[in-house]
Amino acid sequence: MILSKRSTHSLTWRQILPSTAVIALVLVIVIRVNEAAFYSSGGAQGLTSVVALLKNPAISALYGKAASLDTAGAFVAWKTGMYLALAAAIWAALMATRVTRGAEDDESWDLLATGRRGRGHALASVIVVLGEGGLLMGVVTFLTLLLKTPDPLSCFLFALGITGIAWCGAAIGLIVSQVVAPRRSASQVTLIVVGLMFLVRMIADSSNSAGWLRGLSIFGWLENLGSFQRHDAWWCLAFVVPPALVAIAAWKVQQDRDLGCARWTRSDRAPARTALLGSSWGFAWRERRSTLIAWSVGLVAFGLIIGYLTNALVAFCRSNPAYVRLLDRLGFAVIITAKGFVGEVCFTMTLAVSFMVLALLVMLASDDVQGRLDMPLANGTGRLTWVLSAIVATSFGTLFVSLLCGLSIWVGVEASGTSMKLWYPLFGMVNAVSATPLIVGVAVLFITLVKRFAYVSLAALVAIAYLLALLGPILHWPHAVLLSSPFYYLRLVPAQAPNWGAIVVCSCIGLVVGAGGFYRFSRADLGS
Amino acid sequence: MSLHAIEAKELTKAFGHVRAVDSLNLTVDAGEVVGFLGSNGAGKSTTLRLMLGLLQPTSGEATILGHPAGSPPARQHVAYVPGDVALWPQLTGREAIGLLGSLHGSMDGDYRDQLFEQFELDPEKRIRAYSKGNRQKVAIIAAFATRADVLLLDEPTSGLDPLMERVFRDCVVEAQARGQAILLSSHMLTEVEHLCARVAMIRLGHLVTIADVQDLRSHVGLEFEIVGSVGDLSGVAGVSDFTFTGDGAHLQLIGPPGPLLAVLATQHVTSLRTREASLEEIFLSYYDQAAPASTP
Repeated sequence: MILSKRSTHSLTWRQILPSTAVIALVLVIVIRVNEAAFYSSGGAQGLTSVVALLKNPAISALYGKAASLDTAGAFVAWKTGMYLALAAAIWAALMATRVTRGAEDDESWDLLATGRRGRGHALASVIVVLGEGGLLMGVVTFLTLLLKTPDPLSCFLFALGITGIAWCGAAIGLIVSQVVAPRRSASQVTLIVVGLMFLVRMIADSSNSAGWLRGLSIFGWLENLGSFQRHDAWWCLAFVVPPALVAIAAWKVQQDRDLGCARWTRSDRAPARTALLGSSWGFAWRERRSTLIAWSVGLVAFGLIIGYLTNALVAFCRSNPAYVRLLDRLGFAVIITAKGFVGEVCFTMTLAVSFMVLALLVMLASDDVQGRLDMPLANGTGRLTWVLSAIVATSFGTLFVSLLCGLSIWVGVEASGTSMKLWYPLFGMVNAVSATPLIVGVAVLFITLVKRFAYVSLAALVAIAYLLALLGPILHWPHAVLLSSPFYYLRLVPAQAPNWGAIVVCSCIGLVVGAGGFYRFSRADLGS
Repeated sequence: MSLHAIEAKELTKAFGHVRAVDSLNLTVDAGEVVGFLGSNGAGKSTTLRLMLGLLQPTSGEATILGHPAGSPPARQHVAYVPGDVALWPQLTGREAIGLLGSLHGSMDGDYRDQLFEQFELDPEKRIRAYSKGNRQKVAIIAAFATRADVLLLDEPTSGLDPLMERVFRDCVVEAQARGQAILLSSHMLTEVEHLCARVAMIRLGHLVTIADVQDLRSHVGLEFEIVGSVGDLSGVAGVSDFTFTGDGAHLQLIGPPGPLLAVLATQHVTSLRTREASLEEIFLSYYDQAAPASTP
């Protein structure tokens, strides 16, 4: 079969299009919502006087170094820039592993590689598509920012940074896909690399003496670019040259290895380990174990670092009443105490934990789409038992990771010199996962409704619900809109008491929706 | 009324406006191997997946030993080999078979180990490292080692080499001798011919026929090649497709050979050769017959 470069190009675009559209939409929503937050906080006049206060190490670690917040764009770049960049990097990295390692795993790459132009052209087409995807992110960012910020150069540099971050993420995904297999492992390694780079940037911003670390992280490069500050355009090269070199290296590695195999791969032979293979319950846990470990590593590291910032932040707040007033305007007044800060951290963790829940549950859908459920469900376990096993493994795994995360926050807090009872962050993390029953219920329903796009659609839903809860109150959005987000009911435990009533109601809704999902799954056609 | 191991009653499955399986009736009894033939897209795999409960019928029903397909008691009695085996790539062959055995609830460990040897499968390799044929072996071993009462096999030997096909045939024969019921969907007509006393043919979702192979042969007829000086035999009872050849004649006979042999006895025949139709010829014959009626 002869596949032209053009057909490879369109085929790859078809694969990445749904998630690209979702991420682009999230970019637009986040930017527009934060622009609104800027104006509701008093705009340039209200923020300029306290910019110096935002240079507190803890705040810097969370959001990056604050500069002049004199335009809506500058505020958006500071407040959400790092997280938009993180989303773009993760998207690009996961798409890169999907269209390269994933395609090799399911052998669909064989057709592309044996086409007239060969595997080199096929990979080059994929690289071009990922590059175009990154460019699209930048264009969306630029145009959205330009609507409210009359500073084209700054908007352009920030958008270029987002594009560059996406290119870097794609480059990481590309090279990891050449050396690690299968796709699931490649994706995990990629996420760990991106996560570590984010943590390095946090450490770099938490102390002046560690500022040099910024050069080691793609997120640090975004800061060094100074899009709304000093316009240090030389850093643009960092977003072009390294990803290009890494992409070339990936291309070269691919040329020199066997198709279908990664450069470094675990041995193809292994002694049988029969533990957890005796039932669907055990297997559900075993299947999700490596994903849980990868998320644990990331969340524990994040918890340790963020916990370690507690003392600096609280001490800073005590000595700066103006800063406390600013936080109050931004809706973060509660973080001026250690308990409040931990509560805010736990609330932030809710988003990550929710994505982890989705990643663990959506394995059900991918197993179904890949046809892996045919044999187990044909001559063994019932469908409901299989789904229940996945839910139980996901729920207990989530609780375990959350407690581990709470423990790491406590260790960080104690290491920072602030004394705190162990159960505070543990309780905070348990509260953070209290939305899990609802998320699980909705996820089970979505898996049966749109199994091929389950993760993308659910992740978009969770992200929008989180943004509603985070920014809706600041922007005085209608109460009815806020009530639609399960995260809106979460309190900043341990600083506040949990909202038990809401937790019970949300869990019951999750149960009902999940029962609907169960019903559909029990009657659905599998494998199609 | 005797209980069939597998029974489909007016089984129908529609995907949108397309009826992939249409009012299909089929039975397989214990100790019987039934071949299930059809072209690509005829509805074989869909029928098997309906019988496994993986697909939900639009109407009609399928039962396994009297239990509705897909119900817990039905699953206890069934093992399945798909044509395209998909399992978790990180598991080894032994782990995958162990998992499937545990989920099924029964696994003859000795027989499993024997099958590892017979199929020359390295069970310590990971699924992702297996070739298609070896992945197929994993599914075959997992299914046969359960000693399930009913085996639903969908193109089980695709990817296997001829030596392994022979091992597979031995397994089927042994399973049949143990009283297991087998529905074997296959494109490999020689394999079906070797193993199945009865075959079902499906075309565009419709069951074209289900009958003993011998009955099908008698329906298609016996091919005669006659050397010698013979007259026009086209009028003899049961004779069709009569043609003169350079040294004699060629004809097809459907029905008892008595009338033809009586006529030939009066003619100058130097040699007579007969040949039974192969399953492939039977298959093509039925497909050709069914084509005009079934084509929309």
